[in-house]
Amino acid sequence: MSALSDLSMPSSNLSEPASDVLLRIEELSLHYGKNQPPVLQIGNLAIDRGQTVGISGPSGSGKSSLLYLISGLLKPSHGKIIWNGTDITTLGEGETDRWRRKSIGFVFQDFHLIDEVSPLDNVLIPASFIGWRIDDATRKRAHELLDQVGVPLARKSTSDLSRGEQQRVAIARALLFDPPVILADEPTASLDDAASKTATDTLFSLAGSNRTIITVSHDQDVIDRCGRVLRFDKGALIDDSANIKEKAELA
Amino acid sequence: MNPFPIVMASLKRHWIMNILFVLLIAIAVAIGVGLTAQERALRQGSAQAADKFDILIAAPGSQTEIVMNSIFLQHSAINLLDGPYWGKLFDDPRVEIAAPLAFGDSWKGHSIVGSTPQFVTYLSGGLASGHVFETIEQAVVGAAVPLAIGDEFEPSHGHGPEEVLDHHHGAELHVVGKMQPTGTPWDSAIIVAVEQVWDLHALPTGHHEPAGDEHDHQDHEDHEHEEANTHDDGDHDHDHTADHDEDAHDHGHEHDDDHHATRIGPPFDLDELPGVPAIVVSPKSVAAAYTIRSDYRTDHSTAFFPAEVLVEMYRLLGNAGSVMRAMALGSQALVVAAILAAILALMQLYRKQFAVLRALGAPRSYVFSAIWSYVSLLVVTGAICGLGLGWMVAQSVSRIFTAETGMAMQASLGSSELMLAGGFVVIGLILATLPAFLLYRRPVVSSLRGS
Repeated sequence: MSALSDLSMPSSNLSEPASDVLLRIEELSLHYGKNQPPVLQIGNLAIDRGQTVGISGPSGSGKSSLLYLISGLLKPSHGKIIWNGTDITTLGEGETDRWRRKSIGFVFQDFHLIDEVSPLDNVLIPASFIGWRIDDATRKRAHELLDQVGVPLARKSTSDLSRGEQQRVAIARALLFDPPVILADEPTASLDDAASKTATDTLFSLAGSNRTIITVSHDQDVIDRCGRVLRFDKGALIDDSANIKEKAELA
Repeated sequence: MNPFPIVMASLKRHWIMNILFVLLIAIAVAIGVGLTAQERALRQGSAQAADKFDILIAAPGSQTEIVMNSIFLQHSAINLLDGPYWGKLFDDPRVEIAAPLAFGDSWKGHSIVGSTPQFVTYLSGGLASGHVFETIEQAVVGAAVPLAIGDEFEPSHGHGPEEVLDHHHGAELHVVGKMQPTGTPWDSAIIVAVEQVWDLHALPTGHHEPAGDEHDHQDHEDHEHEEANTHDDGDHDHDHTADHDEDAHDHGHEHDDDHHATRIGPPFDLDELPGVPAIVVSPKSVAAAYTIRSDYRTDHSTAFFPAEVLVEMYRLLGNAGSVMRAMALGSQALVVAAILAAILALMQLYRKQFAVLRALGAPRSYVFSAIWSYVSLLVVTGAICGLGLGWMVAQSVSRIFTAETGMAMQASLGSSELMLAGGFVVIGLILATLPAFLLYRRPVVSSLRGS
């Protein structure tokens, strides 16, 4: 398979071109035990294509759980998670893996790069999941991504990179399959202020009409850069800035 | 799916631990391989050594001792078969070759064996150089004896640690021939006319001596008396060291020119034949072999096929080998268990990495194949190194054994060693599924959260 031929985004049955809504959550709840109170409960929530969404709240408020639910890594106890018209809670594990590979780019707090390979090979790691041949086109794309996030191509050792650079390599890795959605879990929590600002700039530079960014963060600078902020507490969505804006417009 | 970037990274990350894993596996495999290869080399070497010894006839006693003396030249005191009982073998129509073996002397640790010229030719399948001895002062040396044709040497009494270096017989022997390598302990032996051994020990030489030799036998009177006593004590003990060690001195025999005139080889005069430790017989047919063996199993003599003794020795060796192999298998099982436990612990360190890969889109099968390939690579590498290590150890042991015994031992890797290493690999590959399965089943989110 050519390196780049598989980069087309969601398959036709996942397309819903008539609507701008990319993600719709309906009556979602997550319990860690039958008689336990829900760790997360959301009535209805829609996120449009191209939005930058910040999820904030205190620890244990359910924001990371939401990220794992919408990425298909967790199955909800109830409810639907509909991406582009497809309810991913109904997909089998293999289908969910394929969907996530094509649709979601993940960025983590601790980067989780592999120190023993070069930054370039770190970017190329996802290609090994599906047996991509590392041909010139794939390598060129990885070069371009590293260039795009501002990591010098000459750097051969991942462990020698600064933490900020490592996070930017992780962002480049998340982009290899050119996913329409980037999910970031505390992307600046391990970085100092300067590195945090560069990483945030890099992350938000990826946003556009064809790319939606959803990030969980305690970092107010990151939250302030988001077009929409969802605030959670005790597993419930307590604030949605879109609603506030809507209410303000109505007022 | 190509898990090798992750496999290689995992190998690099904990390279010291991985090298230790490979070493442990290699040692475990090497123990088994070395034991098996060594045991087979010993069997092959001993079988080759006994190849020319179809039947041994000796005085009643331990057949194993007779084999050790006659074939492996590991000398010990054994009874002598009196001349009249074996002399008639030379006229037996069922016998192709019969050759007496007389021990007692050595030169610098090399056994000097008295026999017949026919036996030399029979044993070595033709000499590499020179000719067989034609007088009692001539000798033929084995391929590994550091003597060349034309060299002279003086035999000492005794063998190995019992060799009495200052107890020379006073006879100078001349090397006239060198045998081809036989791959047996006889490569380290020096063969002289059996008459030479008898003469040095003041025994009759198997031939009626000319009148002129009377004086010589008078010279040996003391020894003759001593030997006679030994023969008369009922045990027929032929331990010359015991006979002579009290008077470690040069016998000072007068080996004058008359010795050159002494006849060597058959036919012997039966009434002049001294006792010998063993007779090697090559029969003309298989049927003849059995009838000869039967005829010489009497109150005065024993006859047996050395191969039978070897089979019994192999059985004992096999039993010991089985115990050692069981112990090796036990140690292998322990190594596998230890490595598996260590890898399971190591996998705990990897679980977040694999959870991240899953979040990035890696299917479960990718995680499984990466961990399985990683463990399998360690097992296969260790097993290959173990094969090599086991072979090297077996080679070294064989070399030492060959140097000490002269018996050619070629430790090689055969199907049993390959099967042993292969079995280890198969078990390793199966067990490798355990950590792979455990991590494969682990929920991604709990690993991502580090709980």
